[in-house]
Amino acid sequence: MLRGAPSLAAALVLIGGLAGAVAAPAPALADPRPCLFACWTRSRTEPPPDPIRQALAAAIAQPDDARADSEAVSEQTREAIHRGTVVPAADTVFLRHRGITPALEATAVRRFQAVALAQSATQGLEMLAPLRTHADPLVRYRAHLETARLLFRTAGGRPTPAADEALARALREPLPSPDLRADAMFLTGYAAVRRRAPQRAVEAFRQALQADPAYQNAARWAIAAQAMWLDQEIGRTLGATRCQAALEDLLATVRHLGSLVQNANHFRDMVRDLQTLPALTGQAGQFVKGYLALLAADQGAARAAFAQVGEGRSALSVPCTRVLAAHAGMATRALAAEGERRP
Amino acid sequence: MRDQTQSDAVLVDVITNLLGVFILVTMISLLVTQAARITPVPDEPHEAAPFEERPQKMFPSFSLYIWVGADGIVTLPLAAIAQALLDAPDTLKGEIGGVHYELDDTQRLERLGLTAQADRLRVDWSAYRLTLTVDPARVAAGTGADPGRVPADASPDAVVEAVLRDLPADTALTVFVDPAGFERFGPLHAALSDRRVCFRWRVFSMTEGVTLSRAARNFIRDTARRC
Repeated sequence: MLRGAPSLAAALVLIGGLAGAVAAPAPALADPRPCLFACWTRSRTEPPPDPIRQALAAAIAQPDDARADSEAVSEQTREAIHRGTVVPAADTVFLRHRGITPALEATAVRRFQAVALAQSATQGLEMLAPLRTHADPLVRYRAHLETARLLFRTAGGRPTPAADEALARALREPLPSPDLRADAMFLTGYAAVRRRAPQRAVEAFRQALQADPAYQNAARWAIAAQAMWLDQEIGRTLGATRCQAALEDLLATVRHLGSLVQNANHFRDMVRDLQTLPALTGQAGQFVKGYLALLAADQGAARAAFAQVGEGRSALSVPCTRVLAAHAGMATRALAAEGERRP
Repeated sequence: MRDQTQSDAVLVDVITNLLGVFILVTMISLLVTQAARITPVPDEPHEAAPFEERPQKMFPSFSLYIWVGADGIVTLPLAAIAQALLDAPDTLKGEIGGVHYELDDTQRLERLGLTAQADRLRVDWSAYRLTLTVDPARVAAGTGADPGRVPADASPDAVVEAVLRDLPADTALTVFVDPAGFERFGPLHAALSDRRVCFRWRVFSMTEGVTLSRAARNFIRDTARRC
């Protein structure tokens, strides 16, 4: 008897655990606690808060408020964007933020201006040569950055070994503030996306946005990279909890972008551009398309995208597929209810 | 008694005149002060229209600019202008092949960036404003020095051939049309469209000029749309 008691208890615990794993609704999967029988019964009555469910509900009810709801963008930055002293769409940190460009001798400034006027990569690269060996590391950094940008331009946006080398040199320069590296980090991430290396891209975009949260292109391409990473790499092996966390991160990046594009019409146009990206064709990509459409107040497009999430053969792990399907179903039902409420 | 009355009248006259002069001087000085306060310093007698483009792509292609006038077509020698500005860093203006160019100095860029909030120009090292005007007489005479010049009497197909001959793969075509050059541009537009050449065009007077720039405002959509 005494010897049999522990094995019976273990069996009960095992059955309880299995029941919890099979019968628990998808949002409960986000709960990191070991879910035994008691935990399962409690979760049936008090479901833990699910950030994805909350984000979807907010986007359906108040798209404009939900779009601007990002902790990553400070109130101060939002006001500066509104006033026009921060320009998130600008292509270098020196144009995005007013007054951060330090003084430089006139001949070097003229050389940078001539490079900007150059009519071919060959002409621009030749003009940049003396600046790449300038005494000031910030000037050298900028010269390497412009070298990479010219090489991207002439190659139609494709990364090349020469551009990689220029970016590596740029990132080796000792800068007065590490935040000035945002553009080099972004280009590194962009090259990784084009080479279908989403993990490297996600990390580079994270660093670019950490350095400059008002960097619109970095937020835009971070969405593509995160969706690609989830669909093509980590999503194939992730368990439910980590898949849910990755999806929450992805939706947070979408809201980050929404905070930077304050005009609703501009955001709608950007969503249309984003929806054509090949990176958003997997299941996570479709889910993001649905969320983007919700924030752009385009419920028809959102319904279509969420319907695509469950269709076709999934490349994702079974738990990850379930997490996505559960949330897409939830959004579809909420949209249907909203449609009935507002005919 | 009469003398007394006369001297009083003279005194009153003098005082009245003095008072009048005093009022006049006060009014003039007030007007001058106010005028100095409200009149802007007329530092820019003429502003060329800006050609601003919202970068649709992160890595836009390079551009070949041609200007269609009533008497001919000019290829803007921007590469030569960039080189000339680099070779003579102390100069801001010059002329190449009938195309006059003038670069804004840094002080003016800073003034625009700091004082004109609506302009929202950032003074980055690479920021610039370059104004270009074309001398129509030089175009008509065909005495320009730039090698890309298209013959004034060339047919539209010959113009397209000449323009596309040396157009690199990474370079797109931008056409500026002088209001007097529409008759010439019509057939050229058709010839370019027939050849499926990607190009964009805007109307700018050759004599009033056009301003090319790189600035933060180029990335603000509302500003770019206005142009």
